[in-house]
Amino acid sequence: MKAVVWHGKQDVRVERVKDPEILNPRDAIVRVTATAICGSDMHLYNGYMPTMKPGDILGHEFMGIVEEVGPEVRNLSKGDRVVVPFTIACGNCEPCTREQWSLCDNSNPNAGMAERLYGYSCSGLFGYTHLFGGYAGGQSEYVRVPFADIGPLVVPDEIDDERALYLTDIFPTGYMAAENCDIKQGDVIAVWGCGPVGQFAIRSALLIGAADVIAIDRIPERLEMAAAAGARVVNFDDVNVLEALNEMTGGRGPDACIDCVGMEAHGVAPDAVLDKAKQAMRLEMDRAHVLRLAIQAIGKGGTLSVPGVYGGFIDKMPVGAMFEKGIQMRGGQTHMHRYLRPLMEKVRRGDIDPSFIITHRGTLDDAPQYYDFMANHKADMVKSFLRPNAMMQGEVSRYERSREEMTAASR
Amino acid sequence: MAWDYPFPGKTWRMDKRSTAVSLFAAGAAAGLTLTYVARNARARMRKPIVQAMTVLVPRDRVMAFVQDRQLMAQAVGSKKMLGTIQHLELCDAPDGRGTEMYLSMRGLGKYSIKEVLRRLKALLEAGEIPTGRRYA
Repeated sequence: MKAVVWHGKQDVRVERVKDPEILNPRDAIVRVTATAICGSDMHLYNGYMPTMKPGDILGHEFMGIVEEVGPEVRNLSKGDRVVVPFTIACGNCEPCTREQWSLCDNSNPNAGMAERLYGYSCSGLFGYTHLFGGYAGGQSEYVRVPFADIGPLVVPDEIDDERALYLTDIFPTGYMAAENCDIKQGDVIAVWGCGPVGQFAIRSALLIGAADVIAIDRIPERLEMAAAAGARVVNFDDVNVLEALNEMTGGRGPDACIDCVGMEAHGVAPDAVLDKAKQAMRLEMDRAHVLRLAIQAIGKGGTLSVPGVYGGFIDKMPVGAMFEKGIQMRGGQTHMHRYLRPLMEKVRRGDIDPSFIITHRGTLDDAPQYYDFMANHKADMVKSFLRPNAMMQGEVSRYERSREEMTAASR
Repeated sequence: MAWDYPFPGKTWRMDKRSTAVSLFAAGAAAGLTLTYVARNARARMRKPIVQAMTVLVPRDRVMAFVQDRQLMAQAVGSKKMLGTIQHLELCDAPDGRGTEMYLSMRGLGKYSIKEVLRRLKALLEAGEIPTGRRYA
């Protein structure tokens, strides 16, 4: 099969690799019909997340058709059209039973490695480093889906792939980020980063009932997209963000801030420049300029929600501001399984159409170019929608092919 | 002792007394560090390494599992490895949160013991040991 394979910093290639196989009784094999490149894939592409190995298959946003199931998977059958959550969960451990699915105890085969870094491990993730299990990702034609009796959700026929695909990560991630803000009537929410997760966080905050959302970025087309959703926008290249937020909130500061940027924050402030230098010298893992700014900007007793990915350790964390203003901070990988069903219902009802985010459509072969576009903000790219080549060329799947061969042989 | 550094004309001076004090301080720090390391190492040798993990499974089911040599061999890695189990204790976790397992094994470090517990937990809770491999 064809897959997008990581070879090193800013080096991804489309290559032929061996097809995946069922290895455990709760596995399924899914033939991918649509996949996408996520903003967090940029951390892998730019070489900031440790424990990637050349040959790793990327991608954690994908959907497709079930081709094969293990003996313990009874809720899915061949031919089902499913979306697959990017976090892998067993459904039986304590975090899973508490609906904290992304903290599953049993789905990360390399939990020991993560425990040494974080104290305790989070769940396994598709195509996202060996620290999170070393699972092959979904930017490929076929994927092995572990614990398939728990994760994948069958998509109703009335929802097409373009509206369903983003339920696998960015829509639930944006939604959980907004939900983590405990939005009350009259609340003003500031969202840093108007990339795909930021766009969904803005729309989710408004859906949940925020009175006002302020979107902060510097890329005009992303700010336009945020404004189209009903947010007020701030270009951080043009104004002092702290002063602007103070003014826009009548001197109270935002009730909650959402950091959708994560470990690769840009900026020209001294801390941002120092972060960049330290990250380049591997003295610091994350560039936390936005996190610091958000803590500073947030109003008294506010909430800081962090869906942006951070991988390790940061310096100069303004703990004093957090403590003195009584701020609470919430983050983590998305508890995908908790949000998949209700958000799919919202999409089915037409409350939101996630396909608004697509700016580029292509095939797997376009992936290396799209990675470059996304990492370097070229071609006005916000979000990609990729079809495996076989589908585009009208090729038959390996299962259909083998069935045809068997039929021919039996004649 | 005197030498010109770092600026010409400025002279750093160190007499015999301060040299002796510095050497004594350095020696004392090194001695204390060595004592601390040695005490820790001795304590580790005396005390078996015990690792703990909680499974969300009732104690009787865990008990039945650990008494099954076939299943335990899967968790430990091989039947041969079963002989290295030094101590396995099972206690009820508070408020129905399952069973706490305390395990020590001869010749294994804490990370290897934790790995055994993790496989045991995965088999008990999820029914399989997760793998990131793509092929059999």
